[in-house]
Amino acid sequence: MGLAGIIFVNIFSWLLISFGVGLPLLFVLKAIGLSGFKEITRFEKHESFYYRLNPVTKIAMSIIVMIISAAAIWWVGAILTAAIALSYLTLRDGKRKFLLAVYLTITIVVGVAWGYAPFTPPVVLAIAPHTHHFTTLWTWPSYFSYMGYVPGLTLQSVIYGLQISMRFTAISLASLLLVMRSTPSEILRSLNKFGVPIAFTFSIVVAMKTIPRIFEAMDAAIKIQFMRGLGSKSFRAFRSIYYLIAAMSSIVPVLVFILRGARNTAISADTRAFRAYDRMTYMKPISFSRADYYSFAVMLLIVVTTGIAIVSGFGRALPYLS
Amino acid sequence: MGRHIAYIPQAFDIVLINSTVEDEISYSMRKRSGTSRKQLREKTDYFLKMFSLLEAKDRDPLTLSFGQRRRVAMASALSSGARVVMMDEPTSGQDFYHREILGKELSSLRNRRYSFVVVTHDARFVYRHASRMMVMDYGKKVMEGTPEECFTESGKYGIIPPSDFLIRCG
Repeated sequence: MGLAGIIFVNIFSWLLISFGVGLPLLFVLKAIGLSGFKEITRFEKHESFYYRLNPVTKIAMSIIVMIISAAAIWWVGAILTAAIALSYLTLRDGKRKFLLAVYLTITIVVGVAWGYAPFTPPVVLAIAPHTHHFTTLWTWPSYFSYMGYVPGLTLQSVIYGLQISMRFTAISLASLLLVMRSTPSEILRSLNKFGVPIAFTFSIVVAMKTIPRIFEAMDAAIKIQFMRGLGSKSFRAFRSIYYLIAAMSSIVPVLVFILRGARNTAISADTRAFRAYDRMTYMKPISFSRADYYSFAVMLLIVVTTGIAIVSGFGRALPYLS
Repeated sequence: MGRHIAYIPQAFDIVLINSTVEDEISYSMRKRSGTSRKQLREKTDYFLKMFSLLEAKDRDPLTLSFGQRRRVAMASALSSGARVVMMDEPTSGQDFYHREILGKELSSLRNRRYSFVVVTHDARFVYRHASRMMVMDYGKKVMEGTPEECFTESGKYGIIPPSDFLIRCG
């Protein structure tokens, strides 16, 4: 291979990596956006079939989807993904939610497939039945092996990556469906019924309430930066890069904002006697026992004895006499 | 639009992305073309003085007190060149004393030809500090006018006027 060939292989390989990392990110930012994430991570009141179900049934449905997707063959996951995505149409503002679900699915499929394909060795792929011949799509430069890349990207590894992604899509959509159709309070009470410890349930509920707020705050922080002139000196084509810059700059203030909110949550929880067990802040009635009376008698005896001793001339000891 | 209108969210902390107050206030001017280095310094100093932030100019905005942080957010909104500032629930979670301070700050800025569009549920704040008000109900305009005019008619719409207004009307 000549110098031009080596340069081409290197540039194209890095472009492929960027595609794998960049496309999901671009989809997340452009198609869904932070406001889209806010929409699919919070509860909105509605009256369709899903909302009327008992919260226990909703949680059980999500768990069943998780177990089936993780255990069954890939196409079961694909069917579940399609079915759950279609069920988004029954949610409030269903068409938009369905569209967001489709975008999210594409993001997960590309992200997961690209996360698996270049790293899956032929030994793993050979376990699948009838897979002994591999079609090499691209050969990475040798130094890519330092990043854990298998030397050749094969068609079979890409297919394997796509198949694996079906597990993630079904699970993600099912989890979001649970969040969108249940109030945090419903989740709290249902998990308590299952006997899940209150501290664990409380953490989940706080997360459920906080995640949409994080997206909302990030979205506002990014938009305000653009209003304040970020990226106004450059071309619109670079807007995505500035979007990333704005997102990075927003992390610290948003984190501070959320932590300040967390303090208020902690105070609220304390004032409602959260985790007020015997060992912690339980209010015990304080009464005098026999031992207390004996102790008081001893203390009184000491005071009286000291008084008598002082009166008898044993008050100040010799070293203190001036 | 960002050149003419600025927005301060309810959680104004999320606006404070720079590591010093000075950088925060000069952010818009640095990001937009057309401001020389000298102008940048002069304008930043102007806003630092206007909002009494000169002493805190080298401090991290997120470490300041609540009132100072709000002033930094307002200073950085105005330094973008905007003459109209939209504020979302600026009085939420504040006691009467701090609401009065905010109201006086806004009134003083209004005298310098700045306009504020404030979204709030605080009728008392509106009555004491706004020049005009608009009552919205599920996205639809119900009333518009001076606070006096609106609160006189507000009973029709189930809106309870603030105690100051009721006392004044006897």
